[in-house]
Amino acid sequence: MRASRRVWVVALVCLSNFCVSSFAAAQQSDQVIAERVLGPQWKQLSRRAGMIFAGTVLATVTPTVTTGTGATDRLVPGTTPAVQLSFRVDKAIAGVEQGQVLTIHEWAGAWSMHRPMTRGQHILIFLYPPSRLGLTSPVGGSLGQVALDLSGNNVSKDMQELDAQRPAAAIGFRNASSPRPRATVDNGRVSVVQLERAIRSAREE
Amino acid sequence: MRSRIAGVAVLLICSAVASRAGGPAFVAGSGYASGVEGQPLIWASGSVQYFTDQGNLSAILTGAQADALVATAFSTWTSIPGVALSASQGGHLAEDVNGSNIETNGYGVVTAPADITSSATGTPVGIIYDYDGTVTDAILGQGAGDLDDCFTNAVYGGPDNFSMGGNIVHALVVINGVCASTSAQLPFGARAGAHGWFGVVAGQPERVDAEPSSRQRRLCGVSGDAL
Repeated sequence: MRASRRVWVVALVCLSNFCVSSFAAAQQSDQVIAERVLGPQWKQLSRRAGMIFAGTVLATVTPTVTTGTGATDRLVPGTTPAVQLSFRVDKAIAGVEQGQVLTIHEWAGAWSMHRPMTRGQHILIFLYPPSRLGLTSPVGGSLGQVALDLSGNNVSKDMQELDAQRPAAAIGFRNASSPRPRATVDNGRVSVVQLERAIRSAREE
Repeated sequence: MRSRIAGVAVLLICSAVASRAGGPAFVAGSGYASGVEGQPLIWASGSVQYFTDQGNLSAILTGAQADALVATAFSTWTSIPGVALSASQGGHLAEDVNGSNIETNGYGVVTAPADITSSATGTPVGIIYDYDGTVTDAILGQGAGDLDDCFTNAVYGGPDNFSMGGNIVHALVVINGVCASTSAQLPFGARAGAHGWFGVVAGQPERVDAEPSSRQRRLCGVSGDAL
């Protein structure tokens, strides 16, 4: 009986060690993947953001800002135009709730700091907490915006593939060959779940 | 003081040089005048005047010193062979732009000093010296002006108004003084500001004909792969 109990104890210790080491390995693997996809500042991105989620772009409303004829009446002198973006939160990671429809306002001048977003696009996005003016933007510009594949569950194999599909924007758009802060990501298949684990662990550190 | 100025100069120059060859920054989409769609959006007449903030950039850099640095950053772009653009300082903005004079009107419309808004075509390029990061906090989001975010937010901005005829008619650039407030921070800002914001303002962030010199590469600490 005693021997049998010892065997059980040893087995339990081995099992727990195995679980702990597996968990640690998985966590380390998630962190390596996060760095590869999000860049070396991924922990900073994770901590600085007030809202992080994987979502679908529902609408982008860009202001019509012209000085000529046509749409002059839509521009109020003395105002700074903001782009209005609506997202459906498909996977909430921080600061938002699953299924929530989130509408944000972004300073039009910040629009050139990241890749344009178009309706139907699936993205993982890190947003600053809204300012006192109600404005926000992706943390680190393009760094805080990751294109997902059509399922919305994995990182797009080619971070630029969705750029190539986007239609022309009304106020002009960044050339598709514009400088990117990161090279095209060579992902076997990086899931949002893996990134979510890494992001959550970075925010808890 | 000279080394401080040199440090910020490196920041601004690196902000301007670290780009990849390719094409224009902006291309006209739908909604422009007939025949303009698909064409590069550029400044009319190949020239632009910029107007700088009346305030200081940071505790260690006066407005005059910052003006000199901005001139250097612009010249990095306008001196590229094949770039038909000249930029000159037209004067100063009418105020020291800071977090306290950018407000909303209560109806969700952001108001600001009139000469930095997108409709202020009389001051086509506004350069804001964000002494304490509060302007950045207000327009990019809470915390965006902090030192921790200098890795991307040291210098930012770009065109915010285009004419129907396919020209850039207004742009705004913000330089975050928090990223240049001590000598020790300047090298960090130089590494972090590797975006061609002055080139974006010029409408030509992607250098077709010119590559940064080896000296510029050394100054900026970038490799050819990063460009």
